[in-house]
Amino acid sequence: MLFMNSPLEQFEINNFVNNLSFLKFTTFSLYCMLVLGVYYMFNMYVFKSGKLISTNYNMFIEALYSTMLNMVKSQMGNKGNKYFPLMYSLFMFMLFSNLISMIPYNFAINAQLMFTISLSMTIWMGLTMLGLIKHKFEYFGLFMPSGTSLPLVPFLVMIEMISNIARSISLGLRLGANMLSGHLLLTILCGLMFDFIMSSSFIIAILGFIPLIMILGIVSLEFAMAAKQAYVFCVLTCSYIKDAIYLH
Amino acid sequence: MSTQFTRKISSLIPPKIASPSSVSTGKGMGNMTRVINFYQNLPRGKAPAVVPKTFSEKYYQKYIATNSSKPLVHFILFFLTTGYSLDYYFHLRHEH
Amino acid sequence: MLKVLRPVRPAFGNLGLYGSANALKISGVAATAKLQTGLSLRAAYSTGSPNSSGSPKAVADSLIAKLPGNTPLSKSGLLATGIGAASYVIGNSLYVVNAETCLLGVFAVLMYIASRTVAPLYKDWAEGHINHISKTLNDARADHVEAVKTRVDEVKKQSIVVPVTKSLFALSKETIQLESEAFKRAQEVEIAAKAKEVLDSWVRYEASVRQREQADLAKSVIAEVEQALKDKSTQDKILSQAIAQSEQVFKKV
Repeated sequence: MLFMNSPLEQFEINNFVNNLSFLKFTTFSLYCMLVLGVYYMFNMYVFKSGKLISTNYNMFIEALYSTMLNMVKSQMGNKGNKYFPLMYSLFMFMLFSNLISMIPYNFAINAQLMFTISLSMTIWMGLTMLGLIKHKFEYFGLFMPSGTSLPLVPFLVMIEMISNIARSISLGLRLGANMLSGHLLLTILCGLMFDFIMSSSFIIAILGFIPLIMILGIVSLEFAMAAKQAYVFCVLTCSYIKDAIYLH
Repeated sequence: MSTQFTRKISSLIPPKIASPSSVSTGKGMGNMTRVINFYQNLPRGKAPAVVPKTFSEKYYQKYIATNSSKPLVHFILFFLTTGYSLDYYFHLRHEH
Repeated sequence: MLKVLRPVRPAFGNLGLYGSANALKISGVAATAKLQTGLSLRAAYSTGSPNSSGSPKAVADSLIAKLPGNTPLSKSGLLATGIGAASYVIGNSLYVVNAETCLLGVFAVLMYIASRTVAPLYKDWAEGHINHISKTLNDARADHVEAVKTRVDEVKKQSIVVPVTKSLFALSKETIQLESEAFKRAQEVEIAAKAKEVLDSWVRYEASVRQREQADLAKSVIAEVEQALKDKSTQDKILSQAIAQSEQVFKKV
């Protein structure tokens, strides 16, 4: 009965259709769709209700909306208004997928490093193209901080270039690793607690409830992390877009 | 004699108490016609009560418009069952 | 914290019991019986703690009252059905108890705590915000109604402009007419006075002329008489006449 599963099992992507190798519908795809559905439903109720006075649920979305709007405005000014839809949908997707993954038994999309890193690479590539189109050759001025002595320029350009390219990975890695580690930690701690409770000795079973408060704290921390990581992802994306638009 | 006569004539014309400017400008609204047009196009009386037809409309009327906490419970229950059935389908049933 | 956790503890105890029942492959009925005793034991244990509120019976009553259903029979039926279904589901390993179950329990506790602490805060905040917005909108509506009302009142004053202007014009017309009448009368009076003056002067002139004519006449008569007196024949005639008269007088005597 009490055999231990790998804590990494929860991150496994399972395929629904095994016979068709060209059509892969996996738990990942399902959860992407569910997140999209939740995102759509929430926003539909806010924007299609036709009411001027919002409900408590609409206030939640409105608060997120204004948070994102303030963030984009403070980062990019009025020029950044056209990137607001991107930031908003990115934030909502991240937040909802993180929160859904906090419900037990559910799949964490953002714990898939493949997903988060490819997402951040796509964003990085997009804003590199944006900068090149906007500033042509001057975009490479981003790699050279102003006021450097000439002998140092090659090294600085190298360092800046590497740090710029590293953004493409670090952005997604930050989110993915945070979610992955959080879920891993929870599963391992709960496994420990479960083993204590399931032991034949009554005293050890009582002892098993001691980590409960710690786990409670960690779960609430993970909830905060879920919101914070979504926000941080968007703040960083925003500042990268700002770099690409304004060149410092 | 003639100046006295004309002055007399002008004093006989009554004071001007109405002018188009007193209607179109002044305290309150800028343009009265605009205000009138606005009010003419507004629907009158009480708003017709919306009868919810689709499921989502009924759900909105019943739970979200009343600020009930049920939608959150539904949300969590939905994802719990989904998550558990997926977990059961892929892992848990193979363990026994 | 203890108070918050207390209602959940029996649930964990039950889960443990479920697990052991499953492990020992005890039949559903036996598991139910064991569970029920476990439940009562747990309840007795937890209500025995010093910071519990009310007697165990009151707590049990409140717990029973929380169950859906109206009659005690339907409540106990529901409870029995629920426990039976749970034991069946676990007994047939449709629900597998594992580490994730602990996470589920922790999640449930967290949700319970959140519903007691965060939810009212959020509710207060949201309602405050919503009230603020609805108050702003209502105020704006009231202000607008007020503005339109003052405007209507202001414009309403202009509604009597036409009759007032008409009466003013009528008044001024009448004034003009009266003035012209007065002017006419004044002129007539002036003309009459002038005519009287002229006529008076004529009268005066004529009177003076007549006076002078009379004076001239008298003068000429006197002159004629004086001239006639100077004449001898006349003097004689007069003398004779006077003698005749005096003779007649004397005759009588």
